[in-house]
Amino acid sequence: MTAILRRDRPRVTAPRSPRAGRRLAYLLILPALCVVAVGLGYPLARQVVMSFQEFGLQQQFGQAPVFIGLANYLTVLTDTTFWEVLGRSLAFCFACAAATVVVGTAGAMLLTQVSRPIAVGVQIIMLVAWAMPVLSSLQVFQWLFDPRSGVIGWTLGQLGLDGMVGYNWLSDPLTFFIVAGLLITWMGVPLVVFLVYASVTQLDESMIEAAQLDGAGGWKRFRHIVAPSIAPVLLLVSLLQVIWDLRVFTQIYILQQNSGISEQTNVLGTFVYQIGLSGGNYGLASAAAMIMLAVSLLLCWRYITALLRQGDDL
Amino acid sequence: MARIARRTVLGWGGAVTLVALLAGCSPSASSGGGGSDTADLRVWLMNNSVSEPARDWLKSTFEEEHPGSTLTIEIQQWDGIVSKLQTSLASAESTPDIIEFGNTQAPTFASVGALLSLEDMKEQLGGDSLTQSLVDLGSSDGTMYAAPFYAGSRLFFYRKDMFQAAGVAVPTTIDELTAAAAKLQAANPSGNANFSGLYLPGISWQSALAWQFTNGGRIATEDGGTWKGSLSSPESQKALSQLQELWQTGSTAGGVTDGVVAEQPWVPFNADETAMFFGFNWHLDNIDPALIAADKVGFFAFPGAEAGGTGHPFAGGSNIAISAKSQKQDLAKEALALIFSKPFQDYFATEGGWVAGNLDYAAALGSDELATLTTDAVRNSVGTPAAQNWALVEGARVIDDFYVAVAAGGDVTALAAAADERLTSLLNE
Repeated sequence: MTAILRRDRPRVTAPRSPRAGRRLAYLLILPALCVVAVGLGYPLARQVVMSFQEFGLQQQFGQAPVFIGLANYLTVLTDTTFWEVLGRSLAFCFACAAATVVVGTAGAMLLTQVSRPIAVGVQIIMLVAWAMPVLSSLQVFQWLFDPRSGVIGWTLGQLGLDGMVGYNWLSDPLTFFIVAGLLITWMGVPLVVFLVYASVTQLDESMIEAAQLDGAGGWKRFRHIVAPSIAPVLLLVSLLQVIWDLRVFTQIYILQQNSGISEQTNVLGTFVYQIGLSGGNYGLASAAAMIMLAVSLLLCWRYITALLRQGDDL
Repeated sequence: MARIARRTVLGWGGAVTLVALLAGCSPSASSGGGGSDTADLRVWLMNNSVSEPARDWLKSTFEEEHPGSTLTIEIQQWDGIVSKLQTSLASAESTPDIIEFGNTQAPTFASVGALLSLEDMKEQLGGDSLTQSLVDLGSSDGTMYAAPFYAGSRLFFYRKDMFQAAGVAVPTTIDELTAAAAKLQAANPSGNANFSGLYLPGISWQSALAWQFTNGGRIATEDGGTWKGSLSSPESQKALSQLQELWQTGSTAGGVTDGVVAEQPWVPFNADETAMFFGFNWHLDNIDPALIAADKVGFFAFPGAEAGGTGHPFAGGSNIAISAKSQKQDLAKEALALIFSKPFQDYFATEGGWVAGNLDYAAALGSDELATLTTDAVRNSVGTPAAQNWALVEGARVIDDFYVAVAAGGDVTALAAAADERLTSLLNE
């Protein structure tokens, strides 16, 4: 970019002074900074403050909040329910993220092997699936798994699995998370396919051809040539999936309403919502959310350090 | 080239990651809304609660009586309304002037100072004719903050032909009801594979409460400002064993946990999959007209615990109140008086099939059997605990989960003990 600009435009007007140039630069990034400060900074700061306060419904309606130090954090961290929820969330999030990345990468590799019209067709379908609103997909999945008229239970029953006809998938935590996991994976796969496919098509064909001539099979080519070349993209999508799946909310929340086992199916998102918005205890919910943020940061710590190191190198 | 690509990806990813992280934890923005100097009353009504003719009547009558003022009705969705009210009622800028909310949500707002006391206009609104269970829910420390808006309560719809085929009479006690359901289910008059004597979904806790309330049981009781879960009381336990027996012998619907399906009991009824269901009077509109024309549909009230006793179902409905933060409280009171006048109250019956908050106007529902049974059910109804923290219990779905587990055949003593513990802790938080 800069190289092109320099070539096209000979230095005609240099900034009058370096300081003026810098002032202009600050002025130019000011709007962006304001948006970030208002949109993300304020809620985050408010959340940090609230996590140290006793902030309930009374405070919401005008009473002054009281600072209570780390009491909210202690309450959350000493609550066995929280640890159960955290464990469940982590297990569920890793399972979903792994499934999404594996299926998505496999799908992308498959796309490189099929003819162009098919590849384009598949991508269009994926794009539609990806663009589908969460609530619509949820409704379709609920129909698929409906105990009374769902096609999945019926099909499994026809295949000879006992008790699957009329089985209520949402009434047991294991099958509940299978349904939720399938939905979340289904919704996450298209993006992974797009990103991985885009980066694979950028690879130098000759490298792969050379490997092929050397007698490397499909799996070896992927393992030793393709995967290392697209590693940054794989790392990125894996981390994004982990973060997205850790803070999953809508899918679980809606399915819970039809499950009758809310307590056994809470994940971090619904847990925080339950104590905060439905429970009216904003202080406690903020503390729980801060802990959730810390967990997310821990999970992607390696990625962030990699990012910082890259920044230093260049 | 490769290095730049790598950095771009990482940098872009970093930005997305950061946004994803932050967005995951930012509280949802409060709904905005402007207050202004003009006397424009904002009225929040819930989706599907007040019919269009009634809304139009209120708007035009109010604006006629108060030239220069306007009344704007904004329809709210039930889902997430408690959270939305928590944020919008809190400031004079964003608060609506008149608000409707679900009767079980009323105690939460009545006790935190979010609402204006209606004690001075209680007589004007209907006095002793107001539905008592809704007055209880809308009051805090003996002061009424939220007036009964309308209510509905359930009664049984049954198939006369199936009762006759199975040789079953209309039950007059809870035990007879269980026996009738079991006999019908065993007889299976329609020969349907999934036949249920009584269609009672496990998730339908508001229906199941009728067994508890009729036996004299309560969800929780208050003593000296402290709430205590009451599902382990002998009365509640008796009701729970009755329910469990029913789910084991007379109803195959205990495993239904889909809330939407549970709210459409007419579907299995029309499909000959059940001989009776416990529903609202307005469910009649969804019943197969052919069944009604052939005089195959009958109704009966929730039976008493003993012969000659009275059933006490739960009443669902709404309360209506004025925001304490409203800047136009005098005008709001005048609008509220209009809402409790005969023309508006009559609309509840004629357009919605609900029982008006002022029972004097329930006559508009008609004098047929269905109307009488519904009005009586509301009159005898009992509400959920009038506890400030009740919304927490609903938010955590404690009662939903509890009844689903009871329907699944769990041990009622252990389940009740665990649920009581949660109730006690949530209600006293």
